[in-house]
Parts: sequence; structure tokens; C-alpha cells
Amino acid sequence: MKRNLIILFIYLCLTIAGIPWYWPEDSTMMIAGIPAWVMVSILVSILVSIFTAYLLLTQSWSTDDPFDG
Amino acid sequence: MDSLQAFGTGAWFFISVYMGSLILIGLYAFKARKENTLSDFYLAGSSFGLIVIFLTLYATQYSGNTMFGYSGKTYRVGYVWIMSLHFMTAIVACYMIFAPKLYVLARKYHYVTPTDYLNHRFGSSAINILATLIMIFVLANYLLAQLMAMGRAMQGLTDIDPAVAYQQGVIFLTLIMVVYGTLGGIRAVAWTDVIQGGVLMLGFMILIVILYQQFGPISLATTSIMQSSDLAINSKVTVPDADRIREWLSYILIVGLGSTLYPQAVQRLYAARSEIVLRKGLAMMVFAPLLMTLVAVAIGIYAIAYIPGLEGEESDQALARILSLVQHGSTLGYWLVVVLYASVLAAMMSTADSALLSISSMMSKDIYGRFIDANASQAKLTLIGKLISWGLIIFLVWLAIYLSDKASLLKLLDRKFDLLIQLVPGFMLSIHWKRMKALPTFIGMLVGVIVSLWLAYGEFGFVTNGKVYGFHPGLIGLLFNLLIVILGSITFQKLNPVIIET
Repeated sequence: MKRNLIILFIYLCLTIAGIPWYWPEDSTMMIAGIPAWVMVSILVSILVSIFTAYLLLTQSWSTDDPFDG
Repeated sequence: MDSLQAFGTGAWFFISVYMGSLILIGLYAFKARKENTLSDFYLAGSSFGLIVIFLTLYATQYSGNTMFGYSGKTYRVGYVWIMSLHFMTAIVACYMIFAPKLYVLARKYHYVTPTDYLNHRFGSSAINILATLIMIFVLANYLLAQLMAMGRAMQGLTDIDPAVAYQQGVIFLTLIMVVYGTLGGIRAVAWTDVIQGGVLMLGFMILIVILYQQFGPISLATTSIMQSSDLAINSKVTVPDADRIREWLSYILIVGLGSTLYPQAVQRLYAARSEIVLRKGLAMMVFAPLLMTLVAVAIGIYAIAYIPGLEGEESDQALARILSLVQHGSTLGYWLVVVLYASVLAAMMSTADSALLSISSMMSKDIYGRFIDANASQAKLTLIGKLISWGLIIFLVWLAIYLSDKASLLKLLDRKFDLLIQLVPGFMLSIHWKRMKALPTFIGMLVGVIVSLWLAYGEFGFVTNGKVYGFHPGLIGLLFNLLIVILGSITFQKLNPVIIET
């Protein structure tokens, strides 16, 4: 349960970081010729992919049957 | 330079050989069948290995819409459509809410359709019927959109009258699809998915190279957009406003949760050979948006910079216009476009065949087998499923041709995620919460559907562009749905404190 809460919290943080709500609307900052808010958003999305793949490949799935008493 | 050059004999030969290979795979899959049962026809006896699972998930998830629709949407709204990268990634993350437990149950109790789980969990005919109707309606709508997209893809590739090209495209491509689908069932669909997914991936990789060679780095296109004197074009690189930010979050939730509940997606979970195969397949899928959606967004950005002036529905032609420039550039460019178009057709057919097979499984097992002839043999149900596929597809082909010039009508009817997401409590919550009850689940699902459609079609002042302050109506419906399910189940529990385990 605690592990699931930590996972949920990490996803929540990544979602908050991936959506560019915190950038000033008049920001013109660029990274490698692309708007910085776009670049940061792409990088966060890559982090989400890596984190999800990590969970899928390392955490074993529960074999509990919810229909068993 | 505005439109694609019609394909020559060599290009049509290539596409014909490709289509012929799909029929051969159907025949091979027919011979490979182990027994005449629903599980073998619709799940291949749960025997798929890693490559098949990955490419079938990939080809099913990414349709022609990803290429044309997402590049067109980027053309209209700009860089903010990078949100598609996030919501496509969210799909795999959302699988983890319920896939591990559902996979174990599906193997243990031999589920074939998504409704098999609901029936096992709740034993309620009302839930079975409502959930099946939602899924069939959504899939039929989805299938129809793919058929129409196939017709449109064929227009412009030949010199013949566009209306005739559309009709022939819909009929010819659908015929090939339904032949291999009914011959070999899920084996044919998944094996053709391997080819189609491979071609699609190859096509997108080629496109990256083409774009770079043709237009240079995307930073040049971005600078060109920023230097435009037109404020509307400038706004396509600026930080999104509050409405778009809310829409972004809404898309992550509704597409992430909704896409995992597409019946064909659930059935792909059932079909994996082992847990480890499924986990690895999903782990590969989580990186697919970086190739697919990111390239589609890049196409849209290039088109804003170099093909200005596309308005309204014309903007969905952004990719076709880019390809036209490439095609006219050189012989190599011409052939690259032929391969890319084959990959577009592949993407549409692989999405459509999975939807068709899934509908036929639900109509034969969940409707015919449950309510019309409960004693029907597996062989009879499989035959009924095939007959349903043919009957349904004939109707949908007619509808696709009838609606060919009424695309806006189809768009109006398209509320697939608003409806699908109402199944979230039934699948994702019930698999973790043993005390969730059938009656509140049914009422919640029904109220969620009604609220979603009411908000979507009710013409309220606070609903703009079909969204409530940037949020999809389906999410508001889901809130009511969840409230009813949770409060209802707790109330039932208090009224009857003896825990009745399911």
C-alpha cells in the first residue's frame, strides 16, 4: 500500500512538472532552438516513460485472486 | 505542388503485393488454428510472444489518425499539442492500475471478452448489457471512422474521380481486412499487425530523415514561425493559456484511462503468453509515443512554417501537403512516399481489424451466447461471430459511403472517450475493492453516461468547444459515477454489515 502511494506521488509530481502551467505566458526562453517549455515537457515525458518501464520490468505483479475469500 | 502526384503502376504493384500478403497471412493463420473455440479464434489460446504482443499493441494503438489527425491538430494549435506525447504515455501507466490483476484472473478463469470479467465480478445482467452496449457503440464508431479514413487516403492517389476512388478504397480495403480477419481470427489480425506495425514504424523513421533533409532542423521552422508578422501564427509557439493547461490535464486523464478500456486493448492483455511477456511488451510500448506522436507534432510544426494558409478541415491535410513536396522532389522521394502511404493504409487497417474482431467477440459471446442461446457450442458461437463480422462490416461500408460528405456529422457523434471512461469504476476500482456492489456500479455507469452526453449536447453556456472549462464532459460524468459507486457501496455495507464476498 505504501509502495503504491509512493508510485502515485511520483506520477503526480511528474504530471505537475510536465504540464507547463508554471511558465510565464510571455516566456521566450529557447533550448536548442525549441521553446524551453516544450523541451522541458518532452524531457519530463521521457522520465515518465523510463519510470513506467522501470516499474514494469522490476516490480513483480501480484498473483492474488480477488475472488478468493 | 498542392496535392500528391497520382501513383504509377510500380507503386500500385507494390501496394497490391503488400495487400496480397495480408490475405496469405489470413490463410496461414486459418491453417494454424488449434481448435474451433472462441478462445482460439479471439485470443489464439493466449499464446502470443513478446514481438507479437508489442507490435499488435502498437499497430492497434496508433492508427492513421495519429499521422494525419495529430499533425493536423498541431497545425491548428501549435506546439501545445505536445500534450499528445503525455496522454499517449499515460495509457501505459494507466494499464498498471488494473492489468496485473486482470491478467491473472483472465488466465485463471479463461475470459474471452472484457464483459467476462464484469460478469464474473458482479453477476449482473444490467451491468453486462450496459457495458457491452457502451463498448460496441464506441468500437463501431471507431471502426466507421477508420473505414472513412481509408477511403480518404485512396482519394488523391489515383487519377479517377475522387468520389469513385473513395468508394473503391473503402470497399476494397475493407474486403481484404474482413477476409483475413474472419479466416484467421486474432492470429491473422496479430500477425498482420506485426507486418503493419513494422511498416508503420519504418514509415515514421523514414519520415524523420525526409523532414530533416527537406526542411532542415525543426529549430529553423520554429524561428520562422516566431518571426511571422501574424499574431495567430506566433501564438503557436507561446506558452499555453489557462484553458489549454486544463485541457492538457483533461486529455491525460481521459485518454490515459479511456484507451486502456478499449475492448481490443483488454483482449490483448488476455492474449499474452505469460506475465513477463506482457510486462516487457508494455515496457516497450511506453516509448512508442516518442517516435509516433513526437514526429506527428514535428510534421505539424514544419507545415505551419512552410505550408501556411490551410484553414479548418483543410489543416488535416498538413501531412499530405508535406508529402507532396517530398514526392515531387526526387525519384527517391516518390518511393519514400509510396512506402509511407502503405504504412498509413497499414495503420488504418490494423486498427480497424482489431475493432471488428472485438465487436464480433462481444456480440457473439456477450449478447448471443448470454441472452439468445446460452447452450450454443463454442463452434457455433465462433461461426456466429464471423457472420456478425460480415453483416456489421457491410452495414458500416454502406454508412461510410453514405456519410462520405458528412464528416462533421460523424465528428458530432464521436464521444468515445466520454463514454468509455464510465467503465473505469467497473474495471479499475472493482478489481481492488471487494466491497464494491453491483447496483451502485450500474447506476453510477448509467448516470455517468447520461451526464456526459447531456453536457456534450446540451448547449450550455459554460461548455465551449465541447468541454467544460477545458475538461471533457466524460470526466464530469466520471465524478458523478464514482460518487454514486463509492457512497452507494458504503451505504449498502452499512445496511447489511455481513460481508458477502464475491
